[in-house]
Parts: sequence; C-alpha cells; structure tokens
Amino acid sequence: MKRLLTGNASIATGAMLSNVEYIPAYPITPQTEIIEILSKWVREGKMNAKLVTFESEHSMITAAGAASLTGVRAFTSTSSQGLLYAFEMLYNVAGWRAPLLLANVSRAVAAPITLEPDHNDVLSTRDCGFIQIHAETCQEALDDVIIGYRIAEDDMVKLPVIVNIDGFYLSFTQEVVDVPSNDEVEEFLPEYKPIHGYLNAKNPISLGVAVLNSSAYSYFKYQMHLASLNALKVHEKISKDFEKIFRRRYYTVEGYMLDDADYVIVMSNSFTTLGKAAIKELRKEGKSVGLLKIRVVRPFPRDDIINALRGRKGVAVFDQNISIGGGGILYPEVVSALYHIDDRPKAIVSFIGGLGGKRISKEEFKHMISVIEDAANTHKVPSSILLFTDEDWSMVRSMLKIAKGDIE
Amino acid sequence: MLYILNSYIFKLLFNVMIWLTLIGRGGQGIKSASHIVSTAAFLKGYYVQSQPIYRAERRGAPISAFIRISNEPILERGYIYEPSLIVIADESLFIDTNLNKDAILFVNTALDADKLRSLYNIENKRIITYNLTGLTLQILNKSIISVALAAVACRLIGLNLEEVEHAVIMQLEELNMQEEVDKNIELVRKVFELISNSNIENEKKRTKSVSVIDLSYHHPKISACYISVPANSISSEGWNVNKPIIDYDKCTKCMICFIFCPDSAIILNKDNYPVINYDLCKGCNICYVECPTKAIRLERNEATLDR
Repeated sequence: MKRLLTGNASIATGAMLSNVEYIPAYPITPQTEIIEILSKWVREGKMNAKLVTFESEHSMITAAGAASLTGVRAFTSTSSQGLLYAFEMLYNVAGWRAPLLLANVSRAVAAPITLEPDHNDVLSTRDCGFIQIHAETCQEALDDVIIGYRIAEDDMVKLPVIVNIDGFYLSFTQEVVDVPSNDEVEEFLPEYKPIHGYLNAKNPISLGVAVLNSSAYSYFKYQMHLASLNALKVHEKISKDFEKIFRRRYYTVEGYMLDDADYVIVMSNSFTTLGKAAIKELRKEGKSVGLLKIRVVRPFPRDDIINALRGRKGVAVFDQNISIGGGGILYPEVVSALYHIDDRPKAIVSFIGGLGGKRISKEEFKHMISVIEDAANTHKVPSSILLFTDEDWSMVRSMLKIAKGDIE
Repeated sequence: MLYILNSYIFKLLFNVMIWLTLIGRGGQGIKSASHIVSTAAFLKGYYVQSQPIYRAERRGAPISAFIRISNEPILERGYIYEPSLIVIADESLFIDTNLNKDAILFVNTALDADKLRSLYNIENKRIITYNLTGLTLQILNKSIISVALAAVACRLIGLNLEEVEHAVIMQLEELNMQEEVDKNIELVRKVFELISNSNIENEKKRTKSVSVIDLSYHHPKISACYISVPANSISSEGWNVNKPIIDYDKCTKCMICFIFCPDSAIILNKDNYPVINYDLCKGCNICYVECPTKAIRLERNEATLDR
C-alpha cells in the first residue's frame, strides 16, 4: 500500500513490520520521532514490544545487545552525539555477535554543534563490526530495516546492523513509500530463532567474556571480519528473495546512467538524489557522465565497486564527511579497491562536501566533473577539494561580522 | 627440621641467556617477586628484562612474569615460550600452564617431586618442590610468598645472597613496607640455606617452528565469544588457603554469597540454598565477608598443609 511517510516513520514502520520485541530508547534530534512513533504503537497495542527509556545511549545499546542475546529481535535508534556516546558498546555488542538493528539518523558531530547531516557520526563506527546500509530514500529506509534483520540474523553473519538515514533530508522528509503487508514481511523475515549461544536463566552461560589471550582475541576478531564479508553474498541471495516478494531489487552499489559513462561521481545517502539530478542535466549537455551510489558501506563491496568503476576515465569520490588531517573517509577505500586492476581510472579525485548538511549546487557537481576530466587528461590529480562556493563564503563572512564585529 | 633440597644452579656463561618464568595468581606477589629477581640480576651487572602478563586484575586470577637475564643486550620481548626455569607459586596452576618439558621446574607445594610428577603427569625431568607457603606463614605470619619465590629463583639462577638481599630491601622500600625488611631478609637467608649447590648448565634454546594458515569462517556457535560450560571451570583446588564452609542452620537463602562470588563457584540448589563448588572456589573469602548472618566460616584447606 502506497503511503506518504517521513524517513523516521519509514524506519519505525520497518521495525513494526519486522515484529521487533524490544526497543531501548533515548531521545536525540533528529531521531526522536522514531521512538515517539514506536512508543505510540506500543501503547496502542499495534506492536507487541517492550519499549524502555534509558539514561544514556551507552546503556541503551548495551540493553539492546543483551536483549538480542536472550533471543528477541531488538531495535534501537540514535544519532550523532548519541552514537558516539554509545561508541565503546558498539564494539561490544558486535563482538557479542548480537544481531540487533540500530537506525542512525545522521547529524554532523559537534563542535561546532549543528543539527543537519553529514556522515562523520556513522562512518566513525565503520570499524566496529556493524553491517552498515545507507539509505537514499524513505522507501530504502523502510526496506533496509527488513533487509537488515534478515542479514543480521543469518548464520553466515550474526552481526548487528546500522541502517543510516540523513537527518532532515530523510528523517523529516515525507515521500511516497510502498508499505509492504505483514504477511509479505513475515514471508521474507521469519521469526528470530537463535541457535548460537544466548542468555537463558535456566542454563546460564557467560557472554562478553574476557579472552585475555592474544591468539583467541585474533581468532574472534577475524571471525567477525569473515562474518561481515559473508554479508555480501548473503545480501545478494536475500535481495533475490526480496525482489520476488516485494518486486524491488537492491544491490550493494547502485549505478545511475553508468553504462557508457566516462566520468563517474561516487557518493552515498540522500544527497545521491541531488547527484542524479545533476548527472541527468549534464547528460543533456552531452557529457558522458554517471553516478555510483554506495549503499552497503560495511562490508565494503570491493568487487562491485571494481566492476562499476573499471575502465572509466575519471572518478570523483564525494565524501560527505571529513577525517580531520586525512581527508574523505571513503576516498582511500575506493582508490585501494581499484589500485591493482590494469584498467583502473586514470584519475580518482577526492571531494569533500555537504558538511553539516550544506547544500550541493548543480555548479558544484559540474565542478567535480570538470576537475576529473582535467585530471584524467593531464594525469595531475589534485589533493582533496572542498566544495564551497562564493555564496557560502559571503554567507559565512556576514555571520562572522555579526559574531566578531568588523573582520577586515 | 630443615629439608635439603635437590637443587640446581645455572651457570651464567658468555652468550647465554636465562629465560625465567614465574607463574602464580593475583595476590601472591608474582610481580614483586619478578622485580626482586630482575633487580638482583641488574645489581650483579647483567642485562635484564622483566615483564608481567596478567589478565583480570583480581586476587586469584592467573599471572605470569617473564625475566630474561643475559651477558649481552636482549633483543627479545614479551612471552617466554621455552623457559629454562619455571617457578610455580602453587600446584593448582598446572591445569592451565603449558610447561616446557625441558625446563627445570620449581613448585611451591607440600607434595614431594615424585608425588607431584605422578599426580599431574609432569614430564619434566628436573622438579624441585618445597612448601614455601608453610615457611612463609612461619616467618612472616602471612601467606604472601613473593619474597620466598624470588629467593628460590635467584638461588637457582646462581645469584648471590648479597644482591638478593639488596633487591628485597629496594622492593620493600618501593612498596613502603620497610617494617617488613627484617623478617623478609630472614626468609631469604632461610631459602638460600635450604638449597644446596649442584651445577647444571643452561641448555640451548629450542625454537618451535610455526606456519601461517588460512582461517575460514566458523558457525557462530563456535566463533561467537561465549562460554557455555560453568564459568571458571578450571579447578582451583590447592590454591585456596582458607576455604569457606556454609552453616545451613544460619543460612537465610538471601543469595548474597551467590551474587558476590566472582567465579560462579556458588550455585543455588533446587531449594535456593547456596552450594559451594570447591573445585572452582579460589578462596577469595568474599562470601565469608559479605554473609549478613555470619553463616560462612573459614577452614584451612588441607591441600595447603604438609601431606
């Protein structure tokens, strides 16, 4: 059934359709709406779940992990500072192999404090063991929750999942969403029946145990890595099932006007829609351009990225994040995937933009294309470039004047 | 009555390294003992490296210390995999200790070497035992055996009494325990008396060869990090000096001992009475301290008495 839903409502609907049983919660803008909706549904009896508010995201994630290990399907959500406050427990619940789902509503990280999105929050957790699926649309937000649980609970994976949506640009943005029926979702995502170790008072076991032995630590950590890599194959398999039931197909990466494109912009999340619009316009101008969206960020879909980008003349990696003192976070991952193939792109250039949710104009997309054309022709690849316009600078100048008096 | 032990003195030859491993449990003073040994060797003018490895920082948790003593700069670090001498603070540690069969073994136990060898199927040819806990209790009036262990190690390595006494004084000063110096020096001298001279040269280090393997994915039943057998299922028998005994007439089934036991050695029976599994009890005595009705008393564990 088609309905008009915000990104937050889409996430909540995905959780409800997945029959989640336990929801530890803590509010933070722009995520709070998710737990408000879920708490309403729990109160109304629309969901047979227990929603518990916690004193912090740290405890909230811990509770989600512990609950998941009792064999219930656990859901939780947070954003930005909340995700960072939970940081050490993200490593823990992943290490427990607790197949819970965490919705992160991206919001740029303080300081300076702001509310709009970039991906430093979610990408800071890229190494901890969570599978990461990043949504471009409200439809994807809902579908990714259902897909996320199916991947998390697969015996080849058994890892927690983060579904990422952008604050404001998706969280509060209403779009038409095809909402699946309960029956359809139940067919795709059967009841969670854990067969690996889980907490049970009648037969106590120790979870989250110390290994204090470097060989054992290496073993358990590398098993998590192998489990995460398995998620690529599991994703492919379940995407076929998903298509059969829901008539939509997802891939780890998604190409847009990619077939014959010489120049490609790589990006993720909701701003991809803006990128697609720019590519469409550039195509009208006769440019041989396309776009590659990275949808599954962890595990990193290396082979799919190689297949999508091999033989291109130039590639722009648009990072909506900044590793201070390093550059874009996804750029080195894309470059290293391509390095050892003979027909790698002649130039791969790093662009940083959209920080704190900064709008990306068509001119900035065009600028990226012209820079990678130039780099491919001259074999001179510039270091990372910030997408920042004269209009941005004039805005900042006027604010600085207000804040600091005359800055001349 | 003094026991004259079969003992061995290492010769520190040129180009030869002594690899010494001390094995004990948190609270026995293994780290202090290792510092005394390394300091004594340092005072003698050797190149020395000493490193403890511990797990949970808690009384009763296994701890090891690795000491390298050489005439030349030491280009090694970390674990000693094939020690020339192993000093073990109590026999319960055999269970989770991988012994180098070529090493000389000193064990703090009331058992003699032959009984120990047959009890734990130890293959090492050279085993020396002595009840250091008994000796320490006698002289220090407490069961902290760090100085006695250090003295044994120093004696077996072939260090002089002078440097060892000096090292003990330095260590006790560092710990602000100057008032303990006299008794501990008495203990050191006693250990040196008990061990007679018999020279055995250190053997050449044998290095095991390893190869890199491909690790494949394992089902989470195996590869998720959890323990489904009773926690701390390694027997602690022999380590607990005082073991707790529950008086069920006084027990109110409050479960406090069950909750506080750090090793899950106390379980509840079907009537919710606590039951102590002495195989798992390390004798930390927390249950004894916490019991609100004083239903738990302590008894000296027979395994730590001369047998």
